[in-house]
Amino acid sequence: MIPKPQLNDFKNIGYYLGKIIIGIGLTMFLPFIAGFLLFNEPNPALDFLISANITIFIGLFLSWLCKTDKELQAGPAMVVIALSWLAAMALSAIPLLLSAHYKSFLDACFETMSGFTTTGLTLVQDLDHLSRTHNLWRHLGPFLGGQGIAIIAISFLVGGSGSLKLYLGEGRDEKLVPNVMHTARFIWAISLVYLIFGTLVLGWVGMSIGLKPKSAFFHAVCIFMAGFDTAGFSPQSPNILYYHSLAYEIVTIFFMVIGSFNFNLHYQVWTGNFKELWKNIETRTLLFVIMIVTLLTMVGLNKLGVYSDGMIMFRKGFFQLVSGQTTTGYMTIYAQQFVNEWGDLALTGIILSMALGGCACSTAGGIKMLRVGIIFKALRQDMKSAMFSPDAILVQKFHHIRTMFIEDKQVRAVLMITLGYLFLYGLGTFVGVALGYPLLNALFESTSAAANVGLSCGITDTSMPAILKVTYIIEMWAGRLELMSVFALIGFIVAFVKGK
Amino acid sequence: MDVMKKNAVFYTVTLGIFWEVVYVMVIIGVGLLFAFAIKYIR
Amino acid sequence: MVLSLALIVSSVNCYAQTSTSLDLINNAKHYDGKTISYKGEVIGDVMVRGDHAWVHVNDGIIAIGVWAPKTMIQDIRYAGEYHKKGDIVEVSGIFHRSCPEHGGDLDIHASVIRKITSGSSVIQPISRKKVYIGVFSLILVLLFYALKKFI
Repeated sequence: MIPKPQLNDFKNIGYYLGKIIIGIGLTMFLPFIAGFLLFNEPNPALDFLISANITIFIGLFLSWLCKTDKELQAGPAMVVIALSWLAAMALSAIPLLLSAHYKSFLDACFETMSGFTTTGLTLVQDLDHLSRTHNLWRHLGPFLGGQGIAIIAISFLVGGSGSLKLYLGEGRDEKLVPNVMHTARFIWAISLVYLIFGTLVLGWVGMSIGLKPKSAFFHAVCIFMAGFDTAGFSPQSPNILYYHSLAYEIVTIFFMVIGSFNFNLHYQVWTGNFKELWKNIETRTLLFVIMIVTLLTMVGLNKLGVYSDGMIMFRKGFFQLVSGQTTTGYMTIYAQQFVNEWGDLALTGIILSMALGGCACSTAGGIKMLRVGIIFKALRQDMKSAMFSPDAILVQKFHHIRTMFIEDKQVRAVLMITLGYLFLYGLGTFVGVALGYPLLNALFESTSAAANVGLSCGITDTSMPAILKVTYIIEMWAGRLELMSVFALIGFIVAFVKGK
Repeated sequence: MDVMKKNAVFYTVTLGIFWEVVYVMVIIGVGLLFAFAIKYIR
Repeated sequence: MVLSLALIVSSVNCYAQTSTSLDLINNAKHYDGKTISYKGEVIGDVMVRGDHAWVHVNDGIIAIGVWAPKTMIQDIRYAGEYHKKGDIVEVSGIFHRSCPEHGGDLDIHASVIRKITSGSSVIQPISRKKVYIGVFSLILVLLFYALKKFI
């Protein structure tokens, strides 16, 4: 018998959702201040003042209406997470809509969902004339969303045991340090240190390639946020191709890769456990997977003679590949070139890299290296057991911060989520094909959305059918939440409808 | 935090970033190796 | 005589017909190495590198990078952004699908850059409507917050 959600459960959800919405509204003051003080763009700045007020008002109202002393249970916590992403998407779209650079509210929502989920597929119109204020918001989305909307709320607004359950609903498997508040603050600390470091390096490189200082540092902040948070937005229409610079590409590769690291790994390495970089199952799997997909893609590209020499293969072939593997989505080629020039084998290689994705507990998407690694270890264990007698007891170890044994329960959980991702990839592909797009193109774009990558082969465009836009929005959302919170939301709705 | 501890933290974090750079360089190395090797073999 | 005339006419046609960015990108293999003509607005940053520079020209769909000697870009005053409308230029030059000189970038090596229209500064006055709505909504929010706190 499914217990039907009571009014108190709704109130619980509404209360915490309201708090998170207030947090989102407060962050809109950042572009408001920047617009007035830094960029001399008063009208765009006002867009953010208005949007911030609307958002904060809604948040205040909701948390006032749903005021409750009841503790947040695990299930409702996941529902809060799922809904807060949707709320963030809709409310953050308001300033973008006011910019008049988006054809519709749906397009603006697509953009914000893409930003918060650190995907990077974009529907912006006339990007090269977009105000810096609005562009900053586009890039801030991944930075904020990447740290988890819930973490923002936890860090500043929510206290007590409600925090832990919210945090676990965010699709992060582990706690860095026992105290959740500490974990949230630590993730922010790492991000801020790298923000300063990254901005300085990218700003310096920017100036050396011909950008004026103010421009160089604006680009630096944007490219860092979208790179480290593996989003893939860029301030100008040609994406990373705009810079025509090997130095810029190398630096962005650095931020893409470390941006796809597990935050636990950062914590270990930054507190002196350097060996973890080489012992960790994820970093090892990442290296191994990159070798495989690079081989596939290079063979595919070489077969068709797409790129004439080794350096070009590296800057065009490998760059796109790392961008896909880390699920960033930065591009040094135009979208159509994937389909027109790369050929099926190379495309398959890059689709595979996108599908597998980056490390767990990071802004990267996809199935995740931890799961891929565990699946391989489990496969190995099964193959070994086939060779021995049925009475033999075989154990398989893996190292992730600590050395652990592979348990059937774990493997089951890993496989279920993997299936979930495969289902998502397939769903988008099916809708794409049904709408007339070629199979490999549809698979490419669908995987890019569900794995929160952001590489595009040209399908993502304001002229694409609304139903495909909605499909990709759902894919981005579900993919970012690793499906768990989405299941919780569906379960909650089912319980409400069918429960007694 | 006293000065000694602050220095230790700064030193460890810098070293940590250094090792992360090394890891990325390995990845870049793989890319360069494959990119040039495939051209060389063909 | 007729043949040479025909050759001259066809090469002039080659120059006169401008391609769109979409056309160039979608048919990159066809245009690779050929002399093309491309028209659009200068946007973003003019990146000077030694005695050459990168200029990005956007024809309304997307921007393509143009590599030109510094002497060719001296006329360019405005590069489009939020506050500015960029100079409209017509570029003639060799198109590369995967430029060997520039790490495989899709680009145009300009042989002629002709400024067609001058750009301008676009000064936007502060929108009164937005100020009123902004301030009014801020007051509402503060009022509600105060009410919530003290009731």
